[in-house]
Amino acid sequence: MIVEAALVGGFPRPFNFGRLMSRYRDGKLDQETYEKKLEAELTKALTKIVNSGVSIIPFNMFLWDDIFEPFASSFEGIERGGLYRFLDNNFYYRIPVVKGRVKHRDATLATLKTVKEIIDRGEIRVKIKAVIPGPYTFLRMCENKYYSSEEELIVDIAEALGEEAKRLEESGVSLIEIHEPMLVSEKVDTGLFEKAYSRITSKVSKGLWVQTYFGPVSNFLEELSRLKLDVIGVDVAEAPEQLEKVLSSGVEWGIGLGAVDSRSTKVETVKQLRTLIKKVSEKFDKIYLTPNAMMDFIPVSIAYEKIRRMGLAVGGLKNE
Amino acid sequence: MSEVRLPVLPTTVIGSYPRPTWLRRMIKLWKSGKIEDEHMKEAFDDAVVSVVRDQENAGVDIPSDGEQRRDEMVEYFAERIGGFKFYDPIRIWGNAYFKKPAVYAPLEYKGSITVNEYLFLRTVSTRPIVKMTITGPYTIADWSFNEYYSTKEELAFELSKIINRELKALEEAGAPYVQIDEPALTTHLKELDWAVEAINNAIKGVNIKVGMHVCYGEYSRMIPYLDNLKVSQLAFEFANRSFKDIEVVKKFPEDKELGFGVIDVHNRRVETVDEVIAGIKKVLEFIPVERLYINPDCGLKLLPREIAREKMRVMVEAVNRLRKEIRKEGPVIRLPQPNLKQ
Repeated sequence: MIVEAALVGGFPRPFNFGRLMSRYRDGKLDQETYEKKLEAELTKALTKIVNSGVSIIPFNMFLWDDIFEPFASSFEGIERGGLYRFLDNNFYYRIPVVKGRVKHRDATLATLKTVKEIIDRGEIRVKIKAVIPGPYTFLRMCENKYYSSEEELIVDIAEALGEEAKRLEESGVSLIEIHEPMLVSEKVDTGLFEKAYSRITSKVSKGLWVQTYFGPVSNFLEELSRLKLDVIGVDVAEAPEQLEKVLSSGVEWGIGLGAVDSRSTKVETVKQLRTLIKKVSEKFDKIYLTPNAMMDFIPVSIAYEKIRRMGLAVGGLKNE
Repeated sequence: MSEVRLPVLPTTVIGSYPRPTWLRRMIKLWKSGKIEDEHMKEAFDDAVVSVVRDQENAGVDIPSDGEQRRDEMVEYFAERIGGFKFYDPIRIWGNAYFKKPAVYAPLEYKGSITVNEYLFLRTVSTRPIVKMTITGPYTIADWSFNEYYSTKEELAFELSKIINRELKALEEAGAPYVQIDEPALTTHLKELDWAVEAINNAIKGVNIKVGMHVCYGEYSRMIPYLDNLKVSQLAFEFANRSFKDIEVVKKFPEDKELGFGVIDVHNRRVETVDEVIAGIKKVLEFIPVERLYINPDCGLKLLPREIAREKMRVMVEAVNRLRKEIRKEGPVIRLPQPNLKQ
C-alpha cells in the first residue's frame, strides 16, 4: 500500500510573495531582481512544505492567480475578462472569455522548467504534478462568445487541455491533476463530459488525477469509473457522507483523500486523519492524503499547521 | 421633519475611494510606530476632505467619506467588535489580500463603530445628503472563520444584533442614508432565506433610508428573495459585465429603487460618456427613472485616484446630459433629527 501526503491545486501565496509579484507586474522591480527574489521565496516555501512531510506538490501552485489564468492567457481564442466569484468563495478569478476558435498554445511549460530548476538547485526532494482545469469545469465557468454549441466548445477546450497535458507528460510530469469542481455542483451533462474526456485520455494514458471538491461526487462515480484514471480526488472534509459510496463504488484506482478542510481554520487532528486513511485502505492500495481543495482560502500559517499534521498522519502510518 | 429632494437620477458612489498616496505612506509609517495617533487621525480627516472634494468636484450628488479609515470592509468591523481575532492575510484575487477575521468568542458590541466617521463627513461635505456604508451581518459571517458558534446562521444573527445597534446609533447621529454592503449574499443560494432574515433583523426599528449593495454574483439567483428584504434600495454592478445581464432587473421588486452600476471598478479604462448613457438608457427600459440612482459598480478604492476621479466625472456628465432629456423631479430623502447623547 502506498500512502503519501500531497497538495492539490494551490497553497496560500504568502503576503510578501504576493507583494513581490505585484511590484514586478507594476514595473517597480526588474526581471533579474524579481527572479532572484522569487527563487528565494519559492525555495523557502517548498522546503518548509516538504519538511512537513508532503511529498507531492503542484508545480505551479504559487505562481498562478487562479486555475484558469495560464490557459486563458495562452490558448488561442480566449481572453481574460472581468472578475467573477470562484464557486461559492470570497475568492475571485478572471473569467475566460471565448472569442474565437480555441486552440492550444503552450501555457505552463515555461513555468514547469523554472520551478524544476529551482527545485534542483535547492535540492528539494519532492515529486511534482501539474494542475489543469477540467474541460467540464472550464466550459461551465467561462463565457462563450463564439461557439454556437456547448459540444463544439468543450471538445476544443478538451483538445487544447489534453495537448497541454501531453506536453507536460513528455516533459517528465507523472501526474496531471484535473480540477473538476463542477462535477459536484450540478447535474452533469454526461454526454459532454464523455466527449471531452475521450479527447484527454486519447492524449495522456496514465497519471490522470481528477480532483473534485466542495461537495460529493458520489452521484457521478459510475461515469468516472469508466475513465482510464489513476486517481480520483474526493472531498471528505465538507462531504464526509460520500465516503461510503466511494468505498462501495466501482472506482478502483488511487484515491485522493481530501480529508483536510481547506476553508476552515479548525485544524484536523492526526488521529482523525489516520482513522480516515485506515478506513479507505480497506479498498484502495494507493492513498494520497490531501486537503479537499486548493488551500488559498486559509491563512498560510494555518495551512502549514494543517500539512504538518498531514505529514504526521502519513508518517505514522508508514511506521506501522 | 425636514427632507431633501434630489435631482433626477441621483449620482452617488458605492463607498470606498482611492486613498491619497500621502495617506498610504502615513499609514505605513503609523503602523511601524513612526507616527503618533493624533497625527494619523488628522491625516485621515484630511484625506476625507480630499476625497469628498474629488467627488463633489466631479459633480456627485451623494458623496461618501471614501472609507478612508478602513483598510477593508470586514476587517474594519471585526477589529471593533469583541470576539474576533486575526491570522495572517489571505489572497482573494491576483495579489489582493484580506485579513480574514476569525470568531473565537461570543460577539460583543463595544460601542459605535462609524458614528464619528459620519459626524466628520457631515462637517466636510457641502451636499445635503451623504452616504454611510456598513458591512452587513451575512457578509461578515461569510467572510470570517467561525471557530465559536455552532453554525454560520447563528453567527450571522448575532452579528445582525450588533449591526442593528450601529444603524440605530447612526440614525441618532442624524445620518440620513446608510448602505449595507452584502457582497457575499449571492454566494450560497441555500442560505438566502435566513440571510435575508438576518439582514431584516439588522434593520429592524431603523427609520432612515437603508440601501443594500451586492456585487459579483448572479443576481438572477437572488431576485426571487428580494421581495422579502426590507431595504428601500439595491445597488448592483452591471458595467463589469458590459450590461449584458441587465434583463435580470425585469423581475426587480417594484417597491425598491435600483442603484445602477455604470462604472467598471476593476478596469482602468475610463468609460466614455456615450457608453454610460447607453447603459442607463437600457435599464430605463425596465426601471422607471423615479426609482433609479446612478453609481459605480462597486467601491473605487483599487483604482488609481486620477482614474477614479475621471470615471466619476464621466458618470456625472452622462447623467447631466440625460437630465436635459428627462425633465422630472428626483427622489426625496428624509433627514432624521440628530439626537446625540455623546
